[in-house]
Amino acid sequence: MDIAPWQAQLRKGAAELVVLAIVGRKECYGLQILEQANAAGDIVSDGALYPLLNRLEKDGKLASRWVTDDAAHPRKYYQLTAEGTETLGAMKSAWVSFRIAMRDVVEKTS
Amino acid sequence: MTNPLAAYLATLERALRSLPAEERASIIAEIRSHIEDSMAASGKPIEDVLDSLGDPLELASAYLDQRKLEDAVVRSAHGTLLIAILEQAGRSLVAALLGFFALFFYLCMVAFAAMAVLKPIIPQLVGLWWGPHIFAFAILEKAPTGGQELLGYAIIPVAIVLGVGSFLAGRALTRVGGRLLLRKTQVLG
Repeated sequence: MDIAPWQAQLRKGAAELVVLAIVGRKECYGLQILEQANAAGDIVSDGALYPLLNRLEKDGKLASRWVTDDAAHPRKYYQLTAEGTETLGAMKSAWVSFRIAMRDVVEKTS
Repeated sequence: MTNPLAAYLATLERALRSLPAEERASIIAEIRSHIEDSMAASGKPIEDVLDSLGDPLELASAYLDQRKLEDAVVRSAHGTLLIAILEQAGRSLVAALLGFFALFFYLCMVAFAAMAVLKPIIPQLVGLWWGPHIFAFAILEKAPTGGQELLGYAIIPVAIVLGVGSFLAGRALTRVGGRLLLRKTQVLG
């Protein structure tokens, strides 16, 4: 049974929350977000992250600035905007209820 | 031998040329920064790093899919909007239906405009015929034998009104459709 397409959809849905949650902890740049997102398993791919950051920034959920003095080349750092913080809060509580509901249904043993 | 990093970025930049120069430059700089940081952090060869970013054309289209709809909705550029909707048609039934009907209305508009323009030039071939064996509101190849032509030159204002009506209907559909699809693609990310 090929569950790869289903898994891809799961990741796609999770990516936005994962990115907002990571940026919400600390201002960071793309590669740092990838490292944290994928520390425990593949969630966000390199090729999906940057267009997603671009969109979140345009939607006003993230703000960015270029930092030139911590590496040989400039890095684009992201942080949450007020709107992003609000979105993250709402997504987080939706996620928690979803996770609880899923566990009750899917992982029930008897 | 060409530099794979430069080649990758050049392809990406070419594929993103519809974006404003400033945004495009920012995307290229960010991807370059990612590639250099990844190589330094993982010690992997450039080919592996580029592989995990994926095909530059696919990366570009991930940036553009979103962008195109957004722009067209904001500027209400109907041609662009219709094309953007039709491009989604393969993936979405809603988009396919919206695209079909919007296209239908735009084609009606063209047909009505053609009638208004052609009536003074070939008056006997443009008209509204009504009779026992014929009903036509059309531009015909040869004048019909049965039925009666009802409108005469009054068909010109009628066709103009219908043409404007079709245009407005098509425009309303592409606007509504664009907004709808935009919301959908944002949810899917």
